[in-house]
Amino acid sequence: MLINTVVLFLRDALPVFVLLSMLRVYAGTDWRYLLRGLGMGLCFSIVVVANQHTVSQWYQGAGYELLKCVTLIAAYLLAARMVIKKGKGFGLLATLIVAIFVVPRSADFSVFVVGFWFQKDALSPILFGTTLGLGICISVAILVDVLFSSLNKPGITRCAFALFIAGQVANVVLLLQQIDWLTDPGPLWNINDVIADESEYGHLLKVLLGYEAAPSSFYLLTLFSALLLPLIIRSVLLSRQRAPHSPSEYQI
Amino acid sequence: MYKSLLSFSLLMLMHSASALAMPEVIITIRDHLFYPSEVMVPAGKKVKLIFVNQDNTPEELDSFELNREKVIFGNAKANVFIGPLDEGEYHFFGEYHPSSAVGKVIVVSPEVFNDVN
Repeated sequence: MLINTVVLFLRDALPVFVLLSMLRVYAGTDWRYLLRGLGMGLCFSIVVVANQHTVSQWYQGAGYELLKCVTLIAAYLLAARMVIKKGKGFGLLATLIVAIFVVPRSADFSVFVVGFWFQKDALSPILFGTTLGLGICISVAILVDVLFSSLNKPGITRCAFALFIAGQVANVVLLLQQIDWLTDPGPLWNINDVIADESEYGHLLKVLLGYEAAPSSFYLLTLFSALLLPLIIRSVLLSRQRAPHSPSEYQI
Repeated sequence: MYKSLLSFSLLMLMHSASALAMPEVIITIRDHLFYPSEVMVPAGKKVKLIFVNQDNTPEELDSFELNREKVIFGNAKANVFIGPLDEGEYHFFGEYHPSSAVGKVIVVSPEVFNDVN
């Protein structure tokens, strides 16, 4: 139960901690906004957990996957706006991203905790496992923060942030295939022998880069489109801003 | 307008028809174990796995090989679609009881599948 709690906590909480770090380094978001988002997300997740059984029965048992897809896409769109246009007033945007992103993840972990809370001998391993998991998540978040802060290269941080959010939204493909809303064309390759999905590196790379040992064409297409689109749009907008003004603009 | 409506209806009908022909496998979760723990499905076909959780506690189905992850609440059922898959063995486990709740999907050629069934 202890190891299990640590694994589940890492799976659900690590992406949230990495997101907090990335938002702090990339957008320079104040901790108050991030904590506000975290609080809001946790409150929303209580509502989701209370109704999760009902939600999961919607659309012939596909309701919860669809809810997850909606939150992932919404968080991605808001984060993509941050990649495209950096500016003031992103504190509120960061709060929204965190709030939306936290909902399904904390709801998933809550199902486990709530389900086993009243079982004999389960409380202490759950609490101990959560504390251990929290320690690991905080360590990784600090590492990410220190790494990108010390690099001091906004371009690299932007690409890393874009890759992180793309890796998260690519999970929509897996969720839609699970509920038969999207065809599964099968894996393009399988490198489970090199880095297995279930290994520690596999878990970490999945969180940071959206790594899949056996990805399908749909998954890769979504990952790369989600990564490149905001970066390309940003480049186009910047090149337009930098382009010399047309003669007609000076004629007035 | 009518043409696109007709094409859409035909598409939906074809989708429904394929869904009707889709093999279904029922797996029961009882005392944190899967029954049956090994299921046979045909290669190259989409399959609907129906998990019926008879325990009071939730279980989370997880499979790295099938790329599936789904919470099944206590005394509830949930559907998971897999495939089309190549022949081989694909393991799955209960994330909340990984030491006891283990199972595998054995994918065989359609001929072998028809012979067995």
